[in-house]
Amino acid sequence: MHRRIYGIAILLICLLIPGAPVWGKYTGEHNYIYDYWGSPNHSVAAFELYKVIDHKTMGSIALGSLDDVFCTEDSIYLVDTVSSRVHVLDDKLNLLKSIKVIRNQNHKIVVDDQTNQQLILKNPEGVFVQKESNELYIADTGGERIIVLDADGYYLKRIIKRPDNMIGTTVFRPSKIVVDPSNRMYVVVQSGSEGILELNEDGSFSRYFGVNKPKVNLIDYFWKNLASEEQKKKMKKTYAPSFNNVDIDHEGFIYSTTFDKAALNMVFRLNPKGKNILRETGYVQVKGDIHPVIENEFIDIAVNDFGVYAVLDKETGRIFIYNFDGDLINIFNEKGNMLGNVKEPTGIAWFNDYLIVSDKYLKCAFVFMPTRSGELALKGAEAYYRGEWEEAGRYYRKVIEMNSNYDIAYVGLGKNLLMQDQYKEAMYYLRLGNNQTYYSKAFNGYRNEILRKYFPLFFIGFLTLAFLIIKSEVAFHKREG
Amino acid sequence: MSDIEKLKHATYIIFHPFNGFYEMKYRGMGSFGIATTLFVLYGVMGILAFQYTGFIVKINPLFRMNSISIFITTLFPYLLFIIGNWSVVTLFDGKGSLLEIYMVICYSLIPLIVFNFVGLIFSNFIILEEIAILNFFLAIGNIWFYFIAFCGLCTIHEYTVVTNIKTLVITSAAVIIIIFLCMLYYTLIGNMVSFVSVLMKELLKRW
Repeated sequence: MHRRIYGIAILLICLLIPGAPVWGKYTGEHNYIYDYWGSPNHSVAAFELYKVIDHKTMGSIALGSLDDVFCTEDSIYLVDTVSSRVHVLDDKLNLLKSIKVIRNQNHKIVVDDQTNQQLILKNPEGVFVQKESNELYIADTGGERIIVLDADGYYLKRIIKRPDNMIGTTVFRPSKIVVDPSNRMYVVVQSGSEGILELNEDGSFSRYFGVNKPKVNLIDYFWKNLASEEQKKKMKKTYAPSFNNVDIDHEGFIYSTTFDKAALNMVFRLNPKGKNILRETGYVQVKGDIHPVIENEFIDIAVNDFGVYAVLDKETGRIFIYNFDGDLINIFNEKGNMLGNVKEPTGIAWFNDYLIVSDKYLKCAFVFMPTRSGELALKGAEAYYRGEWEEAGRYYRKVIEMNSNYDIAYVGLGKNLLMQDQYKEAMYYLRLGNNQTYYSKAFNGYRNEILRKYFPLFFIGFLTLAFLIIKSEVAFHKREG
Repeated sequence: MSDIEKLKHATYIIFHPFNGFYEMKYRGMGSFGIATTLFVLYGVMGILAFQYTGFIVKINPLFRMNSISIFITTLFPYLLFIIGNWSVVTLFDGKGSLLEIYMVICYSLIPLIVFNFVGLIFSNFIILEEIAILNFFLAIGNIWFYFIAFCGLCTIHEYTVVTNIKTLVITSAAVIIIIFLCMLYYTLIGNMVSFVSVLMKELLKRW
């Protein structure tokens, strides 16, 4: 009896001991994804921090800030607006070159003929490398010019100043720049309401590019309809929202972002006519968070060879990764104090399968590496984009094993099974992915299979029914006379 | 009048609404029990439709399904209509009582229940292209329901068609007013409650 009391007493005392929380190594990550219902679900991390590029990488060169990042297959370009430098790093993250003073082909510093001053970068904000012509374009914002260098020797090729034939009210302060395969330049000017500047190869003005539709307020529209011409003059004008960043995909389509609150869309894929042709067939719209506490303000976009694009949100520090169809792949990172978290993110770029994010406040850039599941998801997206269904199906099946909340993998796998005429299994996966259209197709196949299998049964049933009806009719008419 | 005869009369009503409702009103052929059973059955149909409608026709969030709230939201519009209609016809010389309006609506629900149920079963065997057929099928049930309910209301109130339409229009206005009053009442009560609770908190902090 006493023993029992002691036992209970010890148990009660044990209950008073507070539980010790156990922290795994990478549990600080807050990766999530939106499902069919638009509710955020936990997702397995698709990217994890690999390396940090900071003052240690730069050696003796002090970093003022980092404002943009651009990558080719084997080199990384970082733009430092405050100390007016462009840093070039190789694929092992070693500093190759830090450009500030522009030199010519003979390694002599270029001197301006008119002002007799050295040609020095002045608060550049953007950088781009044209692979075909192997040229490095620097959007020298403070100097109101675009400086074109050779991408290997870093010597001056040409300077593009404000074109004489430029029209409109936009000030020529190039902030971000991309160049398409035929050497047309697309230049973003911050808060320019006329669109993206398109310049010809020779630096002459071509046109303003891109349609950024503003939201229309119904009440404003009503009053503007009623107002007279004079009243309209006094009213506040609605300007088109401005684009704030661009990227270009391998097909030459321009991807662009805006964080203007008045804009209708936030992410654009512009066709040569300047119309937004972004595919948004995912569960949710391509606009970042669905019911945001803090409104997303996308500051940069990076698109890779198979149409997967990552958009960087300035307000929350989150990175949203979408595939070509506009399906969410993953949402990761945040503002915070842990290593890898950002304070004031400025730019994002794909470096092969890695993602590089620059931060102005921390004066560093983070290199994110895809995790095993992230790698599979990316490979799945690539195979799907290239039309290799079988391979995509295999990747999706592996992703599901690791991340059961990755709903688009269910759809991808279901579509793959549908193509192989495995209707029943396809139905299972398409239902998990909440895809009615393809479920219907799979169900149609399945139904035909069943009908064919039991056709004799259905036929006999039908015949019996018809016979019974005719018999009763005949009997009825006999009785009635 | 036995129960079985009353049950048979329910099937008679849906094919001969004028005669059927006349006999229900003046010869006691209706039954409150049957009417209520049908009404509850219709509420249950709402729950079944939410859960078992085919995936191709509609994706419902089953993980946050609340059958009681579905039951109430399915039946609430009908109850609202019954009260609205009764409050209008008392001013317009309608001969029907609240109970009779209720029974008319409940009996009229029969085709709706049957067609929705059959449609529910079919919805599990169709593909996307065949939804139009299903919708047509369901529309038959709906039109049948409106027709019987209209005839029934004409009969029990002893209205002509035009007067009945007039009262129905006014009923819809009455329904809106009822909803408005309900909302007003609930917000006022909410304000009252919050006022009292704030007052209590203040008092508790003083003493």
